Amino acid sequence: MEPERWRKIEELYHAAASLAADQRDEFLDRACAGDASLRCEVGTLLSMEERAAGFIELPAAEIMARSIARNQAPPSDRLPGSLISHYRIVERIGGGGMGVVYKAEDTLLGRFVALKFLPDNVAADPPSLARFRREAQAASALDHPNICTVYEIAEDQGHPFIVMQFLDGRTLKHLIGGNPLPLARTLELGIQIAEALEAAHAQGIIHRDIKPANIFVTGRGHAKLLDFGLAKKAAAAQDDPLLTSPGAAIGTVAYMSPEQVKGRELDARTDLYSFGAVLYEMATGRLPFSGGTHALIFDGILNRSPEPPRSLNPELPPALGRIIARALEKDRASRFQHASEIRADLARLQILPPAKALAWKPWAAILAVCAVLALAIAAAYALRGGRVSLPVSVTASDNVLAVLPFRGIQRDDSQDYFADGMTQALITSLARLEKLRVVSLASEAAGRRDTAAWNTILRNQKVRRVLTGTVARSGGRVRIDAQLIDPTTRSVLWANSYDRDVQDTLALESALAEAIAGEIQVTLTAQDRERLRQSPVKPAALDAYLHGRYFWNRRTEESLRHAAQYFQQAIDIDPGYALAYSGLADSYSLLGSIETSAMTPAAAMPLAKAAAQKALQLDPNLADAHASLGYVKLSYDWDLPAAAREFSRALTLNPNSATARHWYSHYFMAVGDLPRATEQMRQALQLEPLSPSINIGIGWCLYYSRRYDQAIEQFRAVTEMDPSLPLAHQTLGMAYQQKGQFDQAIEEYKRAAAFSSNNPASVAALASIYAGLGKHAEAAQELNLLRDMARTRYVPSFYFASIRYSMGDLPGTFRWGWKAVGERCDYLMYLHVEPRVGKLALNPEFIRGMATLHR
Amino acid sequence: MRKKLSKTVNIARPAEPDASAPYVILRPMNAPGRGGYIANPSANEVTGLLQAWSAGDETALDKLVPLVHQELRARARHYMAGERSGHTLQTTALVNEAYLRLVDSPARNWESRTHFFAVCAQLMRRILVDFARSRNFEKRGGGARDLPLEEAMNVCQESPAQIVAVDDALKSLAAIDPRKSRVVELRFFGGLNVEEIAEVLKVSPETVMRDWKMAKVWLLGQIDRSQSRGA
Repeated sequence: MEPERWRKIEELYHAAASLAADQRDEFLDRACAGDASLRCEVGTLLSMEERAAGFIELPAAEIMARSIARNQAPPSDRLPGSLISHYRIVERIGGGGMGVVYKAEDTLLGRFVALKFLPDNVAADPPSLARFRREAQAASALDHPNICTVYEIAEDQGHPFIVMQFLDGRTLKHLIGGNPLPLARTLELGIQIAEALEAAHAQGIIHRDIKPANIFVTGRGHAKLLDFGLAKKAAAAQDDPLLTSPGAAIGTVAYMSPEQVKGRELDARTDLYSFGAVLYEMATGRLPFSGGTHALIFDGILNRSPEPPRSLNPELPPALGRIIARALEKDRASRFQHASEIRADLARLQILPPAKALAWKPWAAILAVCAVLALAIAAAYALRGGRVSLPVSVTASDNVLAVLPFRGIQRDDSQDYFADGMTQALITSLARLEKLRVVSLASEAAGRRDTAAWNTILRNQKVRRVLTGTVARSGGRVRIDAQLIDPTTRSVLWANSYDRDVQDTLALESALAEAIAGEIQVTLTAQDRERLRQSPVKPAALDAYLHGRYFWNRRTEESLRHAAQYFQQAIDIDPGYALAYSGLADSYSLLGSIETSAMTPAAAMPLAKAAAQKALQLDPNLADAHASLGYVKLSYDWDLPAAAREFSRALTLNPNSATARHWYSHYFMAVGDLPRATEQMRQALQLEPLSPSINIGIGWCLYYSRRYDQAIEQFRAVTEMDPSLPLAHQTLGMAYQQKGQFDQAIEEYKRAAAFSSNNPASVAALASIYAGLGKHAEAAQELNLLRDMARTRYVPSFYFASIRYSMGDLPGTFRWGWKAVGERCDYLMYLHVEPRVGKLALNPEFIRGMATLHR
Repeated sequence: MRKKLSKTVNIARPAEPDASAPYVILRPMNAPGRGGYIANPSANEVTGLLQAWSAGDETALDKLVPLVHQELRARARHYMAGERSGHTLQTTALVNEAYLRLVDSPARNWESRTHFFAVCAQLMRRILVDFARSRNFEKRGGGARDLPLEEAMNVCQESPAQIVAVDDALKSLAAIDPRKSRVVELRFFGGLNVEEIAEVLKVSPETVMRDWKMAKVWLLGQIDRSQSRGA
């Protein structure tokens, strides 16, 4: 800088500083006339005055000494191991302007929590403290998977602290670190944050300090919004000392909304602006406005447009640029009005394949043009003659519709099941249409929204249309926002909202299915229309039914029991509800299966059969009910021809029933026709590519076909899809065992045991493998465990037979084996394809036994 | 640069320095009451080291660093004791003691009192900034860019990060206005009061105050700028 200019700045600065605040502008305007840059320089210096008051007044050596004091010695009462109330301090995990945070163990509930102590200056100020408590209480009312849960507010010797969920991971600020996040990550986190805001806003709670430092990303990739109570307190208003004091971090300022900068009354839309700034940063690695001073940032926020995100990161889809721009609108009336709107827009982007997928080869482009032309012609015909007489034959591959799990708007459990249930119901409705192949992307697995997997499926199955949406239920209303998207052109083909009384949920679902069928130009036959019309069901019964299906899909012992209860409840409310009977049948069938063995087959299966028959009596054309009955015929009645009849009837009625195909595949395994078993299972998988149980079914086909390497690969993929699923580990172990990789097998059995809290299957598998390896002590230990278990619960005799067999005790094997026959154990049906049987298959007694089964 | 720090704890400390006492408390390092320290250079040696360093001998700094660190830690213990007993320490002028105790009478061994002050301020700046940098670094777990804690990001707050940020900004200020930069160095790093700074710089106390006032706002602006560039 020119010394002359510097002297000038200095002179003007001192002159202006000596004036009263309201005279400075006028003075400077006059003194700097014609030199805007000079005016700006001096103005910037003056704007710092307030913040400069306490700045560097404390000598550096003192600051250093205090920092050492702060970091070396937490107060003695918060040392690791010490107890505060019933929380045992584990370690200090952070400290900042807003207080010190400890990891602690809740000694009553045996879980880890985070304790956040308020800074003393806040704690010492009664009005601040009262406000803080109020806000923290409001925040503690927010129960949402993307909001860090506040458990309680407590006090320790006058020091108030908050007990929160302990989170393992990093802040989003840390994650961004100046670089754009991958698009999929930005979208996934963005959607989760939007959902958190949606939930908070629905409760009338505004965060007011949305910024990456307040967003935590857990190790499993879940976003968690932090500091609701604190944040609201911290950024309550312009006159808040924390904002205007020298302590105000510049980082916070950059995410402020224009109305916040102006000190106006705030509403939920301020959060949407700040969220837009966060999205901007996730997408580009940069802040929308990052001038050197508060004044410049404020000027940007109030008066300037941010650099378009796509000019900073050309890989961004244009639609994301538009979403961000709309979120960052200065005028809140032009912005997104609700978090749900941003969430819906982001969710739509999420299912689109990455830009690379569009880089078609020229011939493919020509084909695509032809296809579009064909569709256009078809549409023209359709318009003239009405959809019913659509004359162009539509091949199956033209009409592949993928259905993404609909999202519940408030993601508590009750909305979760409702959204899941609605998705299932919709898939069922659509699946009944003859010329449409429906691929469900819903999954019961833990990582339920695996977009990478989705995109692979969309490509592999040449999906042309994707259906997605949200479900909200509040009071007596249900609202569905559905969108039909073309994944290749990234365009929304159709979108519609349905807002109905809960009473009309079924009508709503049929209307939606019909509308979608129309949109994707599927010819609806009279029969289709008949199928779409459903007899009215009482809303409470439907509610219970959806609950039931939700639990049934999880397929654990506990969830199946819940499912049975809910289906029973649905029946109690509406005794004419055929689907509920079918659900009840399926619940008992799985409770009595060897995988679960929660009930003896003799107790469970007659109930299953009665329920299936009742369902058919109520609705002889209900595909689900035929599948339910088929399963009982297969697993308990051992009446294979009858089972085949039921499954094929179910598939005639609904070719898209994944469950019917899944079980039909089991029928083919039972008759030893592995190629056809594999074929059916593959078709089931096409319908529900993310279903863990169908994926395990594919593994069974490979295992029975003695293709162990592929079976291992398949089962392992399921364990990756849902690491806590015991059956996946169990079956993986079996494949390893056949491969001779005993250590790995034992490892997997142990995992199965751990995830199922020692279910009989895993303990028996361990006992068997130890016995086979000559590890008698370990085998005896597991066997004793199994015997103990048998005193209090049903343990299938088949397991004892299997252990005896591994011990080389043939008489014992047959003794227990015949008992298993007496129990009508379902697994016996597959014994003649089970590789473990080996030479035993030649044993006359074994042959006699199998003959009993396969009449 | 950063030396392994002694973990030795000095329990026996002289009585709490009085805030109202004259700021220069000259006490040789090996004076009674300072027992328990590791073998330290004598006061004369410290003076020699200080002079050697100011004459350009960088190796002398290596021996001075641990002494300053020890002083800082001793000070830190006082804060901790103060926090526990519930009263806040009066800290004014204590910092001067921190390094003046390192040497014997400046009047005796230095060409002038002001020269001594100036060298001490430079020394403190150098050591404190290095120390602050290393502490920041420790907290960042090795990554300098992605520090999660707000505290350390917040250079406007009293923190090691602030010390580093001020040092950087001060270098820019020195290029534009060397005197203002020295005022800040003498006051912030050296802990001198206005009169002493006036004496060192041979200007009036009023000029020092004007320089100080403008330097502060300019530095804040500069720190903001570099922060948002780095953010």
